[in-house]
Formats: sequence, C-alpha cells, structure tokens
Amino acid sequence: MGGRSFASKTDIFVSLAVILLAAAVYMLFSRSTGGSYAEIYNGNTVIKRVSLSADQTFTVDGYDNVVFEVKDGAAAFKQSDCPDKICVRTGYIKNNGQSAVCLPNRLTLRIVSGNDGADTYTG
Amino acid sequence: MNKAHAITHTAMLFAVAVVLSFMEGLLPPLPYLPPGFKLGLSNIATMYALFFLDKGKAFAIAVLKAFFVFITRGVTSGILSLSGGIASLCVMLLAAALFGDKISYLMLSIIGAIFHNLGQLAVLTLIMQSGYALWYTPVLLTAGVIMGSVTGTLLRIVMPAFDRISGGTK
Repeated sequence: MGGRSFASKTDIFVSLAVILLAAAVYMLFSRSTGGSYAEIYNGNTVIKRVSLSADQTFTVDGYDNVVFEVKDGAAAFKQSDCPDKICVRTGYIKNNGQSAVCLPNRLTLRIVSGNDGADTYTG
Repeated sequence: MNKAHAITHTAMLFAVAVVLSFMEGLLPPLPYLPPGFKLGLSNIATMYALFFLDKGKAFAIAVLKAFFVFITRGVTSGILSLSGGIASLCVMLLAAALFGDKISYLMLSIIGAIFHNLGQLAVLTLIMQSGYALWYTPVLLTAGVIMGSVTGTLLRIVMPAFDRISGGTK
C-alpha cells in the first residue's frame, strides 16, 4: 500500500508534544486553589450547593440512588445507579472548575470557589 | 468486487469490531486510570477498513457499531459512540489527505483516537449543556496518544488475519 510507513521518528516528537501540551493545560487548570463549594447540576441548573468544609454524605431530590460525599475538602459521587459508574470512578475532586459527570442521570458535580456567603441552598 | 462480496466483507469486519469490543469488556478494569482511558480495540477494524479498503466501508462499520451500542447500552452511549467514530474517521481522512504518504499509520491511529475522544467530549458538552466537561480535554488528549499507539500497533500485528478475511481482494 503506497509509500506510507507504519511509524516514523516524527511520531515520537508529535506524541511527546501533545502529552506535554496536555500536561501544561492540566497544570494550568489545577493551579487554581482548592474550591470551597460543591455544586450539583441537573443539566445546567444548580440543584444543590454544599460547603466542602464539613464532611457529609447527601443525596439530591429525585435521585435517591445517587449518593454524594464530601470528605477532607473534596467531593465525589460515592454511589450511583447508572450502568457505567464513570461518575464514581472519577473519584474525589477538590479544585475550582473540576467536575464529575453522571451522564445517564444528567447530574454534574462541580467545584466552585463561591464567595456569596451562603452555606447551603437547594432550589 | 461485486456487491454481495462487499456487503459480506463489511459485515465480517463489523463482526470483528463487535467481538473486539466484547473482549475489551472482559479485560479487568485497570486501577488508577481515569475514565476516558479506553483501549478502543474495535477501532482496529474501522481503521483497517479505512486504510486498506475504502472509506464507505469504514463509515458503515462506525455507524453499525454505534447502532449496536445503541441497542445494547442505550441512546446516550449510542450517540457518543457515533460521534466519536465519525469524528475519528473524518479527521483521519483529512490528515491522510493533507499529509499524504508522509504521515505514518501509527500517527493516523493516534490522531484518530484523540479525535474519537474529542468528538465524544464535544457531544457530551452539548448534551449536558455545559462547558465543564472541557476541563477533561488534557486527560483525553493523553489517553488518545497512548491508546492510539496501542491500537495502531495491534492493527499492524493482526493485519495478516484481516487480509485473510479480505481474501486477498484488498
């Protein structure tokens, strides 16, 4: 098939460049300091917001089988009834802007800085 | 190659894709790997079709694969499979057209894997109607490079078997 080779030296450089770029972007994202609130979204609506300073487990209305946990300033999907468990496997997140997503349930857990003084609200 | 031959051939490659993805499901999940790090073994069949047969067959296999995911794992998974598969094929075609023979099969495989991930992420962002998932791009880029290298290398290894399916008519 033509003159195309299976692999070339360029591949190594391009691969390394992509990984370095990814690492740089990742560090840029995670350099932001730890967040202070966890927000639960249904689609793009905030349905619950809790502080990361107090350890707790909780659920949100209408999703009794999805359990969230706050521990040591980080939050996670602890349990979920979805088939793939991608949300649970994401593990604990604690930096601003990080998120864990449960697509089957359309739930997103997101860490935000939040400075409006409200501890908890449900809406 | 006559029409019946072409249909049978596509069907056999599709069957290979389904079996590969089933086998991938049997592998124990690797610990410490974030979600999104999937091998994507079934892409080996799509890549073979794209590189050595014709693009029509490759797209047919990607669509069939997505339909199979749809009936076995539901609408969302089906849409994600389709978006990843189509994005990956389009970008591999584009790269092959742009760089001709200068781009290696391995690089095409890596580019395909990266855009498989990015295509899925784009659609996921649309479905969730939020940009938060974009935070995940660096992880998916790295996953694409690693898994693309693995599947590209595996394609090289299993090619004689594929050629046998093709009965030397490639």
